[in-house]
Amino acid sequence: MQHPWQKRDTGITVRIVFCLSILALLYIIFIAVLARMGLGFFPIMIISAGFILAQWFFSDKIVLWSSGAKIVTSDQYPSLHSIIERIVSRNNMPKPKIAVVPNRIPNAFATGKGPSNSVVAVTTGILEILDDDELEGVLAHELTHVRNRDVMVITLASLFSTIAFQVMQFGYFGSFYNYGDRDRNNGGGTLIIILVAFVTWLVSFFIIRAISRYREYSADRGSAQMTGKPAKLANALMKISGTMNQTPDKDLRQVEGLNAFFIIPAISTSTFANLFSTHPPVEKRIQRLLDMEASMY
Amino acid sequence: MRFFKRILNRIESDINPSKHDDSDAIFSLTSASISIEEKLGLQFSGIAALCVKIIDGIVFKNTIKDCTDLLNVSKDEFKFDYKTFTDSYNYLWIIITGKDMTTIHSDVITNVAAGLSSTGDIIEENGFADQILSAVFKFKFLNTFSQDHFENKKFKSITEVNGQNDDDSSRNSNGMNENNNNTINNVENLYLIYNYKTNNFYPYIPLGYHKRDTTKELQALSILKSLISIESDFSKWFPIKDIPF
Repeated sequence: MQHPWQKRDTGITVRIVFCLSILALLYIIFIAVLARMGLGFFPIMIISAGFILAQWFFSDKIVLWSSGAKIVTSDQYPSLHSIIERIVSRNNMPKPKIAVVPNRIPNAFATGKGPSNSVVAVTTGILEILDDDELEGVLAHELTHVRNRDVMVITLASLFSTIAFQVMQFGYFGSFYNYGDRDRNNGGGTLIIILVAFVTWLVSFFIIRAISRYREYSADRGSAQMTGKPAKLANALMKISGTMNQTPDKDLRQVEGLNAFFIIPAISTSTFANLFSTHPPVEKRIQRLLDMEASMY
Repeated sequence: MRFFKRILNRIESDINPSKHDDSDAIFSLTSASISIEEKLGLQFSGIAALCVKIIDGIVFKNTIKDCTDLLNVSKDEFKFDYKTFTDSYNYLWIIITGKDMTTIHSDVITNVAAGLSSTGDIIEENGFADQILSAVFKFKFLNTFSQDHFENKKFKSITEVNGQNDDDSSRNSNGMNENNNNTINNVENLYLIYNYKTNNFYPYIPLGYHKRDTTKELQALSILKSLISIESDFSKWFPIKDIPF
């Protein structure tokens, strides 16, 4: 038997599929236009293959290197390892490598090529502020990213976006094809290529951000399903996000003097700003987790 | 200011029927109390209080006298006792305790809420609405919930053993420190605080003087938000430390 909170969130799945299809369509149009403008498939394929290989082989190393994460053994961080071991054994997943970033800012991320070859990294800051249950929620969130192959999804989704960006810059700095004969037709052609590349890059930028936000929601959901404790992850999100979304420590009687304080509505980020961010607003993530929690009673 | 606030409230209550005035909100708790007990294992303790900022002057004194007169008259019919208490912030607490706990609980909370909201009405009618800080309802966790805590504790101790002896020493060096102690402390009470200015409730579960159990508060929120009007902005969930009941 499956409880409602254990089911897949079909709404999110539909939205992700929708975004990915729009993106695919966009990329097909992009390539078609490039091909039509005389830039053959062959050079595009070589550029793409280069990008795919580079991202495939180096992305995780670059991420780990740039963040300063160090792989740690179970002797160094026994409880961290045991929490992850319990999650992966319950969910029949291979155990990822575990890395720790010496940084006071509470954060966690996952990287790697797939479930069998991945790294889950946490900062020392997050280890300090979260208790074991909350840490389990955060780690399960990252492990859901690994299981869903989100790194690959986003890498592939942003591949042509990257190429479009390159083409745009390349074309802008002039003459990257047919430099020799500058007749009117070709000049217009280059302009159209730059324009198409720009539009592709711009549109795909927003679609990729949207996909990324949806993946975050599903990772939250997956984490809650793995641990069975949505409220713990919600609490962890509250702690990580800092003072904005946190319950206050100050006594009501101390702040009561600031009468106006109570009338001012909560500063909510506009939907326009949300379009640019890779993560959904914390309040919305907490709301969704609490909806799951409510369905458990 | 109050004029505008009134108008805004009026408009708001037209749009959103869940936002009525104070006594409606307080009485919504009485019908919700059965679901709260059933789903969250939280039982109304029979005690609730109105917290009012004390100001100088005879008018305020007379208002409070009116309140206590009313409570004296109605306490037998509604089966409650009351007492007053002045705290270190110079706030007056009018604490109402339901007497007959053997009757059905929803009756107790209805009686207490009646005493509380009519006290609030008197204060508001005398022009001291801005002095009312909040109404506070105390709920107790029933055994089922504390048992869950006990199991948690057992689970913790098992993992501690699994993690071997060096677990403890490395725990400190890793920075995974004393946070765990909080969850082992047994949580007993949940206070539902009704803010007279925002017309919303929010849960507060104190862990000693300085800390609060935010996870349990969030769990409570997940259920409460469909039953009563809840403050959705966490940054307004101000604790009231040393609640005198």
